[in-house]
Amino acid sequence: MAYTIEELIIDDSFIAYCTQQSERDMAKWDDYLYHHPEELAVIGEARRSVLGLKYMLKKKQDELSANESLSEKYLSVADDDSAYRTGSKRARKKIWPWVAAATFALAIATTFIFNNLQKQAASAPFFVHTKPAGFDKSVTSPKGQIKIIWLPDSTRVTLNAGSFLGMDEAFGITNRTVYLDGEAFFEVAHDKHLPFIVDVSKYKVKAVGTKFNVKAYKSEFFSETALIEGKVQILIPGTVKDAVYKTLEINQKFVLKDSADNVAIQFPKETAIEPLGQTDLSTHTETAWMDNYLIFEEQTLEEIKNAIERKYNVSVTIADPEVSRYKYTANFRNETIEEVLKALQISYPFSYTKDENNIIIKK
Amino acid sequence: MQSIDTWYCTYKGKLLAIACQRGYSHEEAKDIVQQFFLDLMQKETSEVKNPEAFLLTAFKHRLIDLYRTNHRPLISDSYAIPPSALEIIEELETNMELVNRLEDAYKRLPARYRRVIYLKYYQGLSTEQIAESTGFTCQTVYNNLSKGIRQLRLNLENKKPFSKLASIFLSLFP
Repeated sequence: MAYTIEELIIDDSFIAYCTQQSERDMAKWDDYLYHHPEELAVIGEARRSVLGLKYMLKKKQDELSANESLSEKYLSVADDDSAYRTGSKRARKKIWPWVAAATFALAIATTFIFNNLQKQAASAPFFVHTKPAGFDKSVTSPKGQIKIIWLPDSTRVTLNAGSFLGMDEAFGITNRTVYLDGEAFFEVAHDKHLPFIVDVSKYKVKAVGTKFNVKAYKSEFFSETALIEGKVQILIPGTVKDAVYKTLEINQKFVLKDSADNVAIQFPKETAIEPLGQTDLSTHTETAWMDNYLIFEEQTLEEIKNAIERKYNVSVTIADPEVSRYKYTANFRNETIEEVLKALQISYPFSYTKDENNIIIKK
Repeated sequence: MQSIDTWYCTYKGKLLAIACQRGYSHEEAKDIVQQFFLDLMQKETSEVKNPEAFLLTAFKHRLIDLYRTNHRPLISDSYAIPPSALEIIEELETNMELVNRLEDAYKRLPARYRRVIYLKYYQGLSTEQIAESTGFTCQTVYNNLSKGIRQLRLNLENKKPFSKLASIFLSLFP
């Protein structure tokens, strides 16, 4: 049985396939094509429609939200309109007084419900900070691969190699919290009532319609959040309520130098607010990874090792602790792993052996 | 390579469909896709950033090679390779007119359709969640979505149905 184009466009699993949110749905619809290859054109057209709709709504809503004087409900439809949901045009005339009354009642009811919801939304995620063990939805980008995903709320996420992003079922309904282990660039969809929160377990980043980059690999002690556009707040998890620690300005970043694992952060000893790094590429060092750049500034080989492992999907062992403290400043883009290692050798010599995907670095 | 396995699971159907589109039978296409992935395992793929676009291009070249060596089914360029997700997004980002036309078609929908479409594609709710939050039954939500999308596509096809209507009226009452 083949689906019609309308059936595809509104199918939730098909939408997840289009937005590449779920590997299961991607495999499911690819399997469908495998058995119905004649549907290629229909699938392609349906996918264009889904992505087009999502893109258009996000873009137009962002423009509207940026301009506060315009009604925020311009694109969405207020609850009041629901009174029109049934009945033909003829019937509508007769029921007009009822509609007015119902609309009024509905408006009161929605305000009430909405306020309650808001209260819940504001308090619920903050009380408990312990991260849920399993996530209802999650995306992992394998080493050596960058992924672009669209979250249910139309936020666009570029996930760097070797990163994990998780969220629970209520995402987009009562919360917009994502859990990140790794690095990602967020282009957040506007929603004043439901702030977008990135939880990296030691701190949280709260945003309302903004572009920012978060780098927080659990395997590393160093973490940073760079703001490109809009406004974000850094929150420190508290027992009752999260406290706002810093509000970032555009072109600033929040840096955390974490000395020990699994210990609460020593604020403000190990944190700093710094300007973003400028490259000669007219972009920032913090987000250059999205264009495939690998940029190191006075970084130890230990830190470089992690980045190389993720980008080239290899395993690197530094056999000598002294070598791991060597510092390098370098800039790579399309180089192969061998070229990268050779270039590093020139500036501060070491030797290495490469056996398939295992690299061992010695003095 | 683990990633080739995943690629096989996520893209084999699409590649097979492309081969079928080019005139191969279902069985032939299966073999071509199988061989294509087997050969891929021998290659260096660790630097591939966008697997979908990479696979589509590599597979297109494979089909051209097959055509040259075997003089098998003629490749007609009238069938374009379907764009990858990234290419679609890039097109949307650069083609403002397309986005504006879509917006225009959306705004001309009745409110009941716009509402469910907004909830589904902007807020990302599932049909069940929309039913829950609006109080409609799932069937009603589904019907509204289905009719809304059909209407939206009609709106996109004939840009200004009202101007057409107006011209008909004008011709009736000169």
